[in-house]
Amino acid sequence: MNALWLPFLVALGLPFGAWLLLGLRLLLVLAPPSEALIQRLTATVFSISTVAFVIGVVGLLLSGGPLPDLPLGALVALPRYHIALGLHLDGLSLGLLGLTFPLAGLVAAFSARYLHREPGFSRFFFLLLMLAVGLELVAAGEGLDLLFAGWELVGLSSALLIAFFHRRQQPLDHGLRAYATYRAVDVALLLAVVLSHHLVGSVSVQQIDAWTGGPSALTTLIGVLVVIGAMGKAGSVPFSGWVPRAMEGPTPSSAIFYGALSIHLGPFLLLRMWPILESAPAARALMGVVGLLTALHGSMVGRAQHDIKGTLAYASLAQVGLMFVELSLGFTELATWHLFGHAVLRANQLLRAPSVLSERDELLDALGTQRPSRGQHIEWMLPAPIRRGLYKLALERWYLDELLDRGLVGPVVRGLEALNRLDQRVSAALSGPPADEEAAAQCAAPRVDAPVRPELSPRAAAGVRS
Amino acid sequence: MDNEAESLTEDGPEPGHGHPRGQHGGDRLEGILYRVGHLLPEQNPLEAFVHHNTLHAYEHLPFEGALQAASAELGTAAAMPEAFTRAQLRSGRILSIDLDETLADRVPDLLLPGLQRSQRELVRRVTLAGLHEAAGPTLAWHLSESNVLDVIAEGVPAEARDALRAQGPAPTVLRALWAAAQALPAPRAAAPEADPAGLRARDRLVQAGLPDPDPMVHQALIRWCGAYLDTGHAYWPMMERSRSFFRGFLLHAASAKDARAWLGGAQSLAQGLLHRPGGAPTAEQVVAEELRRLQVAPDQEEGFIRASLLALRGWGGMFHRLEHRPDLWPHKVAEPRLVDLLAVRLLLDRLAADHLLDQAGLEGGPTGQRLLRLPRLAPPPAIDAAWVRFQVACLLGLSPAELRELSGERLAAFDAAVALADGHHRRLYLQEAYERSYRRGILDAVARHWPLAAPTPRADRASAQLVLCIDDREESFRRHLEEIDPSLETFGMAGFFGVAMRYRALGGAKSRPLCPAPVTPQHSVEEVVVEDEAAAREASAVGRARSASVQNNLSTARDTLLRGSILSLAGWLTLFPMATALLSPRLHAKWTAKAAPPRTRLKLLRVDPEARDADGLFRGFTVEEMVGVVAKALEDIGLTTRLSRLVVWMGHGSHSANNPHRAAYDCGATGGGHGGPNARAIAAMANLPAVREGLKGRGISIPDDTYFLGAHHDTCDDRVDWLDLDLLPASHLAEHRALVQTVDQARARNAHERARRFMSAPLDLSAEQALAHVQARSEDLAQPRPELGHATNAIAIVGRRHWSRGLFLDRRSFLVSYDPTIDPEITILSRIMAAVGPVGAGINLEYFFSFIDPALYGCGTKLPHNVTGFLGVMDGYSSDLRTGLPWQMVEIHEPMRLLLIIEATTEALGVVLERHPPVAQLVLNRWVQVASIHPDTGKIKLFTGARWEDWSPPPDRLPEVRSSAEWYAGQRGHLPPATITDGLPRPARTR
Repeated sequence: MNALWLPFLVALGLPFGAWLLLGLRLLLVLAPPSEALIQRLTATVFSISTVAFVIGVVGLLLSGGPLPDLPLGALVALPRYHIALGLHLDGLSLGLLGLTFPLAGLVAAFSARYLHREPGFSRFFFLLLMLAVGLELVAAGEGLDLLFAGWELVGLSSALLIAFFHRRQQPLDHGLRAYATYRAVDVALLLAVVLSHHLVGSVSVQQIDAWTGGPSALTTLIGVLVVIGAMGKAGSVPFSGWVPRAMEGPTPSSAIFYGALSIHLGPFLLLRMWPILESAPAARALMGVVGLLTALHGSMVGRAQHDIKGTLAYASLAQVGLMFVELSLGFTELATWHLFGHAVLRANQLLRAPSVLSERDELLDALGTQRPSRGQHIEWMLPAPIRRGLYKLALERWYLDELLDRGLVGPVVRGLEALNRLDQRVSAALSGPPADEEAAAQCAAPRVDAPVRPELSPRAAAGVRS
Repeated sequence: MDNEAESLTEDGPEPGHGHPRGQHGGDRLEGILYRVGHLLPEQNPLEAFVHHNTLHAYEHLPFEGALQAASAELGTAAAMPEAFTRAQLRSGRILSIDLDETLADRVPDLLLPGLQRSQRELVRRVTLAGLHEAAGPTLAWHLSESNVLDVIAEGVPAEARDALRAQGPAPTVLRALWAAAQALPAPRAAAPEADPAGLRARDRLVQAGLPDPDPMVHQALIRWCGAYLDTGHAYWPMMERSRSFFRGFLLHAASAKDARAWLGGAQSLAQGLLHRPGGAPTAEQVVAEELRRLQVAPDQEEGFIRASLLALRGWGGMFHRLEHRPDLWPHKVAEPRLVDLLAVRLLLDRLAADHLLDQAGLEGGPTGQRLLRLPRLAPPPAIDAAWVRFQVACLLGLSPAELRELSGERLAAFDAAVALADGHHRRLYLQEAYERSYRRGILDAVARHWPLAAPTPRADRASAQLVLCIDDREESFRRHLEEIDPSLETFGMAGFFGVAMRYRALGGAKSRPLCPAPVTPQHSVEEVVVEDEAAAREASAVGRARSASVQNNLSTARDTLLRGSILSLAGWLTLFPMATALLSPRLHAKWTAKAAPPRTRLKLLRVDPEARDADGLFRGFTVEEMVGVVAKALEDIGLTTRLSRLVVWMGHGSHSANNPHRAAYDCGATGGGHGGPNARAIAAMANLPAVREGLKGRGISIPDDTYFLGAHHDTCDDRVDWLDLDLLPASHLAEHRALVQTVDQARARNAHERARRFMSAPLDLSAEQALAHVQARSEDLAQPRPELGHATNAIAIVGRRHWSRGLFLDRRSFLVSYDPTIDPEITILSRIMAAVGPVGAGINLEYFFSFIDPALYGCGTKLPHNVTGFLGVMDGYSSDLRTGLPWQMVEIHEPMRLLLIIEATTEALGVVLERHPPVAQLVLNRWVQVASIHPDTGKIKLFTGARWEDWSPPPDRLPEVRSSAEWYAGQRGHLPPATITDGLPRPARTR
């Protein structure tokens, strides 16, 4: 093993170890660990990780050469099929890690005081560490498989933190919505990973980077799937509805997920898959259109928001939309800078969201006026009813969630229900008439609450009875 | 005849022309909205936060009845949950004697026929043990899966336990008892529920097992409420806000089709209303139409409207508040009216109900009729009477035979006693016992401390005199000052010091009132730069405005696309300031501190008696007015003689970072502002020779060598600023220097005492470290508890300081100075009580209610709060406007009514109550507790609602320690009173 890996292994390993440790502790012992212990643990882990990471980067710069991959064994090793596990560091992953360690550390420091005496304190930190581990895998995973695993960890921790206040209904609904959105688009990402195996022969990042196959139907398909996969995390149109809803969690979790890190995984994925995307003009076009629409959507809807967290959520997704546009035009460097700068800026703004009142006062005092100036819009050229319609459209967020529910979710659910009925009919036909009245009543009883849930087949029901 | 003609001409055109007072009783709707409006949370926009009694609308009722009425109408808690109070019982915070005394007042000591036990004994045992209240399947599960019928329950007292055991093995006896209890005749069923016609559509849908329409209605409605009331957050504000909310909403709804299925009909509905032949209906008419459509009977309209508005009470409250107090707008942007909100809400309610009814297959006919066709699910079973009787029998140690023999009147008496121990009553008893136990400790302490006190001899002059706010947070500060310098005196007065003004700070964009909320200031005062610095100031103002406009662009960039993207390319640069702000708040504050402000003065003196500003307020005060202000203030605190060479007026406020509720930590007596300007104003007034001349005419002679100084105490970081120090004459420099030393030491000690309540501050901090700790707290972006505010407040002491001096009150007492010996006419006490009664009760009760129901009276945890429209906070993404206090503020509070201990005879107090009906209402309805302490004898009498009862303290002495620090060392929890010997006045010895 190359000695240059050592500091990086420390940096990557500590959050992982701390996550496992805290998880086991929560699982095995009923009483949660003390706040001080968790605070010390996360503070130590993230400061050492940050320092080790910096040492690693300095060492890398001094040595001058690229870092060879670090193989960690194989998940699947068959003659013609091989899924390797390993770590890979390049400029892009270093950038994301360089953001992850200090920001996660700062947010942990913030949260230790902010969540003091809150029920769920240890749960919060467990999920924060889970996010860090997920990001490490996304950044430093050698293959797309590890990236996907990290991707899922980030998604899961995000959904669980949105639902952090689980005694109220709304956070649960919105956490579920975010989770469902992630899962739906993850299907696309998973397909892209599988197809990449076909295309490149493996999904190792290095091989993707070195891949020069040129455009083909397969690259287009992979490209489109990757873009769809990125759209979910990035909150692009039409999946943007979950981003403002994600503001249900405690302020610092909103900051690190939807200001800083999680939302930027969309553009990060595109950067990671850039060699393939470059040869997929259709995917790039889709990226551009989606980005443009998202920027327009975020900007227009954000302007009408009257709450600080909603405003910041839409501002975030608008900027991420711009990054999509930049990428679609091929400005990868610009997009990278934009991504990292925006992540820091937005995290800062979200952490300071509760200050919005005092900041406004200072501003008004300094301006010597009672109301801040607001931009003049070209709207005066439009007739009033159209202006009202546009305002309504902005305030109601383009009805994206409703359209998504009706256009996409509805048909899928109805399809599944139809399948379920078909399944019931077939199994009823195969197994003959029900054995006794009670079982028949059981299986015929309409289930108002869960229509999709498969019913016990009469035979199984009878089996249970007897 | 004349009358009729008049009424014809006035009322004639109404029905046809859409006047709000149509046939359908517009006046009645107005009356209903008037009453319902008062039930909505009465909270100001956040920046003008003022503590008030959350249940102000119920003050005309006795306290307990009010809580019950509010609980029924608002759906809130009526007392602390039993689990909380029972834990206090276990920890010894409530003693059994407290419970016994409570029951002695409330439950008659009647013998239960046939049981040889009294009603009170039954209630006592049940209250101590609690009841397991279950029914139906829950109870069946409990009986079959737990050992309740095998083992005698834990709460059964030893005597009853023995009695049960004497009858045989526990399982046999318990089963026999249970059988006997089941065999008893069932009690008379409760009256059937009221006719569901008064229910909202939502209630009927939910009762039928259909989905609750409120969440979807609210999601739509909250957006429009927020947009309508937004005072400048959104870059793109809502249009048509100069029109009513109702009309604005209709115009927007009519402009485009809504994509949501349930709102599919909204556009045509709005268009139909807007273009109705004969003119669009008013909100009042639409409300009347909706009531008819739902077939709400006239006598149920009020309940219906109340329930409809309470469903989104925070936003409704803000509409109502801004409708009636437009002066509270940060700046006025709209014309909110409660009736507009109601009309929109009822339209949305109907659309949602229609949609759900359609989905449920109940089509055709008006909404009201369709709702009536809905089935009603069976209500949950009532608590099982036999199960309750069984448990009570166990607690009493009855035999199965005894239980079986209960019948007819005996059973009725038994059931009546059990009813007196139901959940509601148990909570009340325990709550009262909780309050009683604390009261006992305090009254005993005051009575036992009294003999140690000695008024300062008239001839003696204090080293300095400080007048502070009555605020409970200043209790410890004053105590430490007196401990450090026993020859120093402190006074307590409502922290606006009688200077009611509208104040505009230097460079402030707008002025704000600095006086208690009910007072409307008649004077305006401006802070201006001292002339020789004016030119420099002018230049810096230009620079400031320029940097501000850059700042404005930056903050706009937060919300906009292009500016935002340019900004985020440089976003890296914020990493370092963010890191320092989060890792070392103090350092960050030091680095980002603003340059020292220029020297300023208050423009106080008004020469032309008629000079007014643009708002019609007097510009400053004339000399006569100043004399009045100063004379009143000095009389109030009893400081008309023996003035020391240096007299300091010290206002207070609080500053904290990242805290939307910061105004709630400020000085209530200045209406949620900082009291510094008031202190500065009264000091400047009292130093004017003309004013002193005028005071002589009022019989107050101020020594020529007395100098008044203003100061400001920050209760969060314990910093003290001295105001107008450049005017201090050289002759007083030495006194001031000495005082600064004392104050600095007191600040550190005060911080130290406060730090014991902060779990994140180790108990072994030194005073200086504690000061650093509280400073870091106030600058910390991540700190949801910059300070603990008024939490734990429980007492208000009104009287001369000498008898409460040296008494450790744990920052729980308002301290109001009042000298009964100079108040033969009881005028001073009257005006003090008129101000202090409602203010103290308001603070105390807001904490009380936010604690007992943090979800509905309070605003829950701060962590997901989301500031909206610069007006209030929502939970996360979108929710009702959350009102009341956040949990982090009230967390360590003890919910008890304020105990006023007033140094005045009961006759004097009677006079006060006669003169001030609002105070009388608070006292007679028991929203506060009142004790009188006799100015001459120190005998305490407690007002029990009907009469004054003598208080006899135990003979032993209070614990005595040298210093406060010795008493609280190593302690985190609430502390009982003690005598602090260092703090006792020692006039003769020290000087």
